[in-house]
Amino acid sequence: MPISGLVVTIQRPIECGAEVMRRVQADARFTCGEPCGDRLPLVLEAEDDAAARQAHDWLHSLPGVAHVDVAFVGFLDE
Amino acid sequence: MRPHDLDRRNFLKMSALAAATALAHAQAGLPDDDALRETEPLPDLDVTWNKAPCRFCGTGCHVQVGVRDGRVVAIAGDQLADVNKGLLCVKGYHVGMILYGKDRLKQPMLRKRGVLEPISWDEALDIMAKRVMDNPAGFAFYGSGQWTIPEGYAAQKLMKAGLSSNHIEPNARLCMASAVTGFLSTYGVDEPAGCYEDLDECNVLIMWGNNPAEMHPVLFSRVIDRRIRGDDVMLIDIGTRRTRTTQYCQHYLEMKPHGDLAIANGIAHLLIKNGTYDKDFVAKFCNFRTDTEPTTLNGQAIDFDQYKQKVAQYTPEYVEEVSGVPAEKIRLLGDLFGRRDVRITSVWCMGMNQHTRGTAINRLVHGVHLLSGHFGKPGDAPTSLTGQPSACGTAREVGTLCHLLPGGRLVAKEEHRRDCEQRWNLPEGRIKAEPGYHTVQMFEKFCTPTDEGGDITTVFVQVTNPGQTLPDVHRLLQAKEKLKDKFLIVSDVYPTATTALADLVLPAALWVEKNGIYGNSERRTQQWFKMVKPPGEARDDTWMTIALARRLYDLGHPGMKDKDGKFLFQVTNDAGEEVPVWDWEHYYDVNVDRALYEEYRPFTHLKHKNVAPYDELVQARGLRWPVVEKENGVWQETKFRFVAEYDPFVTKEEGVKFYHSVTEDNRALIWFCPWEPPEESPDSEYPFWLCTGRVLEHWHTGTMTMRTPPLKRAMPQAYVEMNRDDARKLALSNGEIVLLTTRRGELELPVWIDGRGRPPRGTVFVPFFDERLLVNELTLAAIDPHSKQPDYKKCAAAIRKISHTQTAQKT
Ligand code: SF4
Repeated sequence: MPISGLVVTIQRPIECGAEVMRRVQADARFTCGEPCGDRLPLVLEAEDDAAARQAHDWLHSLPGVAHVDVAFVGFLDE
Repeated sequence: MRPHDLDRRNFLKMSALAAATALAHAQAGLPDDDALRETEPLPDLDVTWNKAPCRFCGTGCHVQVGVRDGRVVAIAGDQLADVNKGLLCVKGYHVGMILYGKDRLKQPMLRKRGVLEPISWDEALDIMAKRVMDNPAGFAFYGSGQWTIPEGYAAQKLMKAGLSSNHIEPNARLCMASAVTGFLSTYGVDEPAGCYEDLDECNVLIMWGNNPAEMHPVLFSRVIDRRIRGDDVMLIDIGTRRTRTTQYCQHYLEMKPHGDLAIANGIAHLLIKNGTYDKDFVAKFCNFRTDTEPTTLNGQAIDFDQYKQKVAQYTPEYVEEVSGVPAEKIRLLGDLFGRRDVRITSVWCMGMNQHTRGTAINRLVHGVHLLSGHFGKPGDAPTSLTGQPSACGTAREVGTLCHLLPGGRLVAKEEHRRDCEQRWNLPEGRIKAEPGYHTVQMFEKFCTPTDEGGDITTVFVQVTNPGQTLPDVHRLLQAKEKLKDKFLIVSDVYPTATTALADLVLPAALWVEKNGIYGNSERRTQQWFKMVKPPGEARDDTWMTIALARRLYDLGHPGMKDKDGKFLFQVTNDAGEEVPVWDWEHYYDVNVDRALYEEYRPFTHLKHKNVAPYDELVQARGLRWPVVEKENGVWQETKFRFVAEYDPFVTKEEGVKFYHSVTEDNRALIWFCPWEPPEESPDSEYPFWLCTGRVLEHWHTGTMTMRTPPLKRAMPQAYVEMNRDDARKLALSNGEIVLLTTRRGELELPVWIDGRGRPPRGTVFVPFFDERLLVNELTLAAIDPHSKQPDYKKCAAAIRKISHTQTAQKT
């Protein structure tokens, strides 16, 4: 079960971030950290690699998301 | 879920959140990075974290490697690393998985009656030593830009100091040799003046035949991140096909193959015609040269007026005719280079290097920067990138190419040979004066019958996969199978296209299974320690070289001793006692990497490439040479070479100084090299251009990334990328199988239309990562006359639809 640490960059103006936050927090796959300026750190837990990729793509597609960086990948279960 | 799993899971979640939070803070610039670094350590939980450079590309990102119970369990971007500032690309954050493919090689194997059978290390070393003793002159060593610095140094010493043979090459000959000859013939010394900070400072970034969005993604994201923050950076892509990079660029200049030479000359012409070249910079710091017929590395001196006359024919209209790039785009480039209020960085990699006029185009790009004075300020620089993690450190600096000695010395120069003999305590005359065989020659000789002049009979390959990467590989390696007296030894971590041809296979330790030192694209030397054990009987490549040398010593080979009779690789402990490091049981009794690196380090001073002491590297996330000790005892790295503000070897009064100048007057050379057509062009029989290269998910031949499940799933096999109109004309749709043919071979591939890249009409692209679909059976072995580097980017090909099936295969 892959676990990754992601950083979402919110498009400017960062007010767009509120909606992104709301949707991510409502999604059980993600655990949000403290936002920092236009960056939102979060953890993604997915069933498998395909689901992780799908979740990553979903994040990318959210209106207001400029960029998604990966900070960490744990692969104990691979 | 078992409690142990829960514990692991929590650990991973905590680690993931800590790493993401730290990265978010660092990216947002809040709070101060140093404070953050102290307050947000990665969680411990029985996991040991340690630094290492990423195993893949020449960007040289640093990762934090999490090890638990002797196994790598997590990877995080290293927040302390200037190169990547905590970021990694899709390959980098999966780098830990490369160790755990199911088919790791774990035992030496000898081919008997066509089948590889396990043997002991002792037997393997005996066989190797016998091959060398029987015919030392017929033995060649082939390594790579993935060799660590100590691995390359040991191989270099075994060959040039021990066997008096210069038949040693790294695969870097295939990827950056033209950059080397470009730097050498322009500045008199190799490697870039600038560094990655140019990407943070430039107003204009020109990518010459380069696709950093896929090949150097972390570097590219540095620039894209500036844009997201509101910086105004103009991106210009000059290439032969649209790539992921193109999507981000304001200008895309689609050129015909070899059009880059005309474009660069066109810029020079406009700078002179418009009077916008930097007269002061040129008068103080530059001389002019022209290519001659036949061409030579140092060309012929000319003056400014002669230069002006030569570039005069490259009007925007003529350049458009030759390159296909519209004249107004050439004017745009001319105008940009003519401006003093912008800073321009040029980057390039294989597009300019894998080119039969590679040396020429490298010279010309340096030339437009020098002529326009866009040089010597942060963000104003011509900078080549490398594809491999230590192409600079090991191939170029250690000098593992067949004509080099350590630290930029040349085998052909007597004073350089004498100097090395003295440093290695060898009898005078031990080092041979004649350069060895360059890569293509080496394998030609290996694949030619011995009685027909094929005088290379044994090749030892470490850390690379020539069975997949050599051009025209039928002729240059597969042909060896018919020659019974030829013997191929391959050290690798997984079965490859090369081990499939090998007579003896040696299992190697990989990445953090051994100590290592790399040198990345921006002159940064990076060190790491062994963190986990290699599997089975896999061992370090440096150990293999030393163990072979010791076998030869025991058999009485005179070259394995220095002039006092001591073993060539004598390593002592703190008490000054010799440690038998050729015996694997004792190899890690001392730090052999440290010993070899410290022996090598003084070699770097001659060309002012002073690398940092090993113990300084241990503390740092790499240091950019020249690294010099200041009066206060601090070792200071150098961001920008040749300019007084940064380079410790240039005084304030001198301002700019090219201190290894070809003309010995501290000036760089601005070259004129004419446009010339490619070696092979499409015709009625082979109507397409074939270009080859990499993709984001896979690194080089896919040996590691194809065994990383998420990467393999993301890009499972090679394909041929086609233009939609061409596909329509041939009645092809996505996924259909075609037969791709060149004068050298043929291959069945599925078609991808409007996929990752978008070639123009008449061009196709095939990635080379897939060992089941060896596109290098089709490529051309034509080489640049100076760098001897082959051109993988252009040859003539034909395409024929053969079926509707989805499964491609090698024919
Ligand atoms: S950009 Fe290169 S060095 Fe950096 S993480 Fe990716 S593959 Fe590794």
